[in-house]
Amino acid sequence: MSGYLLRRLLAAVPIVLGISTLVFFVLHLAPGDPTAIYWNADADPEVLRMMRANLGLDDPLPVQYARWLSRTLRGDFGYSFGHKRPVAEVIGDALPNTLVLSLASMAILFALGVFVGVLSAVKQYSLADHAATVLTFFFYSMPSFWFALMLLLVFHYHLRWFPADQMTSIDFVYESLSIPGKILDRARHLALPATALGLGAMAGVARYTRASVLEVMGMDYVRTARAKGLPERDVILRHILRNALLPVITLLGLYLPYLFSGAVLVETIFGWPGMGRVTVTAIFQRDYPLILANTIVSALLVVVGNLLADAAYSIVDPRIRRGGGER
Amino acid sequence: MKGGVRLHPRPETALLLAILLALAGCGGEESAEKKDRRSTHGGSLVIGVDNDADALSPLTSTTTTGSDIHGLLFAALARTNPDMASYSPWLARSWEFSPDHRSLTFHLRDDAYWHDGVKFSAEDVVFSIPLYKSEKIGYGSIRWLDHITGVVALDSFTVRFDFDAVYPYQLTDANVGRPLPKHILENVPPEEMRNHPFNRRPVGTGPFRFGGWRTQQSITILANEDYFLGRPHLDRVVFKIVPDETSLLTQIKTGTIDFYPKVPPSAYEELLSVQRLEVIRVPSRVYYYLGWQNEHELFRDRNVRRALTMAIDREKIVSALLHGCGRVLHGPILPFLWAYDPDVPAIPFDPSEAKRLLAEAGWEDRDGDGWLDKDGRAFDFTIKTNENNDLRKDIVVIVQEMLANIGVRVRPQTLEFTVFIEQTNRKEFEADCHGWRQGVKVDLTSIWHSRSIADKYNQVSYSNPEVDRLIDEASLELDQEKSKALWSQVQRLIAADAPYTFLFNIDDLYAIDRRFKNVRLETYSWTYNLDEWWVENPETEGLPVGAEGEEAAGGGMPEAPAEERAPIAGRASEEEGSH
Repeated sequence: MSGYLLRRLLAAVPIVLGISTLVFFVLHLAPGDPTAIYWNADADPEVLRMMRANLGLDDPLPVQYARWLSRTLRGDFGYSFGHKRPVAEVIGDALPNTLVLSLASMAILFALGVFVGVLSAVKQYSLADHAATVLTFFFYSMPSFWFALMLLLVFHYHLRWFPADQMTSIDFVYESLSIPGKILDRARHLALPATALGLGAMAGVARYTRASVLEVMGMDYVRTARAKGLPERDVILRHILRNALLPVITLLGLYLPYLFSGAVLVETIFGWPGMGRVTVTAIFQRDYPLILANTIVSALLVVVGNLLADAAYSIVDPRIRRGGGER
Repeated sequence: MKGGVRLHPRPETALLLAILLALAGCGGEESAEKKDRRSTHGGSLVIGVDNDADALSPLTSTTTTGSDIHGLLFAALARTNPDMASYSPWLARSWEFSPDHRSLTFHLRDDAYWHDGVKFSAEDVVFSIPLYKSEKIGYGSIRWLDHITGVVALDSFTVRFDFDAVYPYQLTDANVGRPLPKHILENVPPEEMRNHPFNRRPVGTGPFRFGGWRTQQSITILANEDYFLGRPHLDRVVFKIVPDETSLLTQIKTGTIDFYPKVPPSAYEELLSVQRLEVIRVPSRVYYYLGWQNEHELFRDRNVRRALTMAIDREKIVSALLHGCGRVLHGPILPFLWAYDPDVPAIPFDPSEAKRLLAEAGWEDRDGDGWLDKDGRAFDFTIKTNENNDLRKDIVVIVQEMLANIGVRVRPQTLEFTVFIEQTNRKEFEADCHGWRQGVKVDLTSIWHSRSIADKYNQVSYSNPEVDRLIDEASLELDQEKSKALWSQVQRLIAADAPYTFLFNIDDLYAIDRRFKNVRLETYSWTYNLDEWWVENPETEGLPVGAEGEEAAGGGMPEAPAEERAPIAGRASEEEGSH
């Protein structure tokens, strides 16, 4: 198993390298001047030329590529043009924040999605099922930014239950809190963005779970279990759910990158200091080193997400475990 | 000669008061005054800004948030007054020019300290200027220092700037690069200066010192207890980064932030109805225009450009898009500047005259398709503008409609900012919708002189030999009255040639919680007197200053001699360069 995972991980290296090389050339060939951030009426256009020279943007593309590649292979992502500090530091600041947000919303979306899905499958065609269907389709079709704004309006502006910006209260207030107070403060700040990010995908998980549970419910072994006289709860939890969740688990790996891309808008609306905002700003500023590093990071996340899904899959499904071991 | 210094009555009184208080020692009256002032100390101001800073050093920062903040952390030798024409003493107590006007000597204060406790001296000035002139660093206003040939410390607190030319903005240019701490940056090679940790942990001499920076969340600055003009009233100022406009509006309404310096005109009425807030309108330094590519066959004829201007109802644009928060502009100098000529003849809104002028130039609808044509070519062009600026996009749409009324066809094109800047700098446009922020200098060279067509900001390729001559003359004229007359002629010539259609000068809108007092927002800069703002019943009184979390300013900062200072209001600052 671990050998298999290692092989998968090694296979990811050329993929990530290929992706970032492609992005490198597309970026440099695309129009847009990275030194435009230095532009203003008092700054002489000559400053833009100076900065192009200082940043090495005047060199032929193959030279720039070779320089970038040799640096990157040594684990040095260089300096961000826009942030004026090492790219590794910029990502080191932002990545954990995005992970916290993504994981929290993942927890919300899977817990809620599975619950709603099972409920509407077990009570198929009941009022609850219809209500859940309508609601999930509603959430599914809503863009996350609109939903984020609605949450902001209702729970922050009108009800004032939750704060709606950043990860904590403003620093001098936050610093004056006790440890439990700080944890609560963080949780309260996490609530709205994690919900906004998770609810749309939740609907998908709910639909998926519902279909899968319905399918399993028709299986012979479920009928056998019922015939044995097992209590309905045991039938649902042990026989149906365990089997029905198998395909849902693959969604885990697929949703991680999805959440990452959705995080851009949610991060902007809730002022969450994560990778989404960093990436978008970097793209608009043509901050080449930062965009490239972000590409590598998100490519890695996709790979790791898929690996995690595979690993989780093999844990719940003995067939895969055996098969994986033999490979 | 004292460099044309005109002290404003207010600072003058404050300064006088300070001297009197210092001389008085500890008289009964003084301590009463002190006590009174002391009671206004304390409290926090939370400002909502829409972007993070890139750096907090005046040498390297290129963002507005960055320059707003480093303007409060770093003092300059002389302080620009809000009229943008005169100066007050700051790190320098006084200054004078040599008889030939080729050198300028500053007499520095001997009681100014860097925020880490080291004494500020002439050596810091001598050290800093070459950094601002270094091409390896690429300081934005680097060309302002071109005429400064040398900086010499005559003694610890006297420094002389030598120039290779005599011109009216010598003091401004000597003053643009604010002193940096030699004892911290001495051994940093220039090429590393842009990425040096100093950018994120600055040490200055200004009224506020660095408190903390949580990337993409907030930047905190704290009252400098040892500020040589007396500590600011507020304990701390937090720049909270809120990237979304809707969130910013929500937060100013709920009181999560106290001050919102960039209220969009569309929210003006709405915020006026919030009792707790005061909404303040100040003319900004920004103007918007439509630029016509003067070398393009469509726009080569000045009557065509004038006709297009006549067809655009600018009053309507101001009322519809700015909700009245702005004024129509007719020439290249903004009304608040000393050189502004209010009597520049305006090009009126007159669509029928526009049509007549175009017909005279050969543009008529010969094929009956509703669009003007000439030699088989329809009057049809693209106006480029940039993404992330709804106002510009709206302007282009309205202009499209207005020009369609006279048979001229406009195709709007919106580009990403970096692409837009690249293309306009290369003159790859027929027309563009753009804006300038007026710098502190009255200098029309880089935008209007024909010499600037090749590689400066004369992107519309405007060329008028008479304008060139007048600009050259005015730029060297030391007598302000004479140069004002010259600039007046330049404004009239440019306005008549209509190389741009000048649209409007927009107002800056600010919303602030009424608890904050003594708030003076200037066109020059809203941070101008931030150190004099105070707050009623500061809620956070008693909270230790410096209890900031991550990235708190360097620990173990040696206290500068903490003698009792006359608690007069000090002075905030703003950067000379502009964005």
